[in-house]
Amino acid sequence: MGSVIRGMLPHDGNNDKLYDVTVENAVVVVRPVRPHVTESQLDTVVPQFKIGSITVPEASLALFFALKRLNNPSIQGFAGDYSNRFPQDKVLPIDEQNRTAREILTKIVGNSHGGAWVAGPCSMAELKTSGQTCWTVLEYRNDADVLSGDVGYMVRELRQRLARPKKPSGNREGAHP
Amino acid sequence: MPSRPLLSAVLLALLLSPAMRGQCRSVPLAETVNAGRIVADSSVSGLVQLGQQTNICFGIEVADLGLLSNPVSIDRRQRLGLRHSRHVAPRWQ
Repeated sequence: MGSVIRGMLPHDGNNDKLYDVTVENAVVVVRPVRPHVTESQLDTVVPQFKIGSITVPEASLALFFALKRLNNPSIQGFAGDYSNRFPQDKVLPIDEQNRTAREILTKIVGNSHGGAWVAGPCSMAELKTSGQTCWTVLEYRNDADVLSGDVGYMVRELRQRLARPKKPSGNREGAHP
Repeated sequence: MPSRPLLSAVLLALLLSPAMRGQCRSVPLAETVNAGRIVADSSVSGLVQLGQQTNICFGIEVADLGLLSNPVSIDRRQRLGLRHSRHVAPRWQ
């Protein structure tokens, strides 16, 4: 299994690996050896993250709101909309203390009916300015064609984001949960 | 017994149907799984496709364009996913 996954990942000119592969909470986590940003939202430690049985997009947004509140405690509430294709599919409840956002995201996917999270660059500067998550959570429950479309859109968007020159702060990087 | 293959096929179809999918499938990295046929135009697309076919969950942090532009092709005939090859066949985005 590991050889298949590693075989899918790019290597540099010296055939050195660019990504590490580990398994956490039954989720295969692929992380860059050299991260794109020095301070990632995903490294943020969340003192407490507690959700009941809610859908995957709701759990993803709950994590995003937790990060926004940690970053700016004066935030009173959030407004917006999101896609909830499978309202009947709930993640198992989560009650975690002092976990990183990355660990919680992995827990959400691990407690789901099957899926993946994919994150682009997740700078802390973006968290201050963006109203969207820097990650996308995909649910395998979707038809293959629908999931293929979602992934294609996400990949195109990530390509554009990574092709942009790095800004010191305030760069908007959009992705939806 | 003629009905046995049919029963197995029905059970397999049920197990693989979305309604019957449970939690993420826990697979040690050393384990061999049948990866099925995967044709994708990038590593990320290939991993997600592999995940949907096997119900193995992924968390992927993309740090460079390589992960978004590395075409992947795996054929189930290649010893249950133990081997892989890379060539351009952009069928599954």
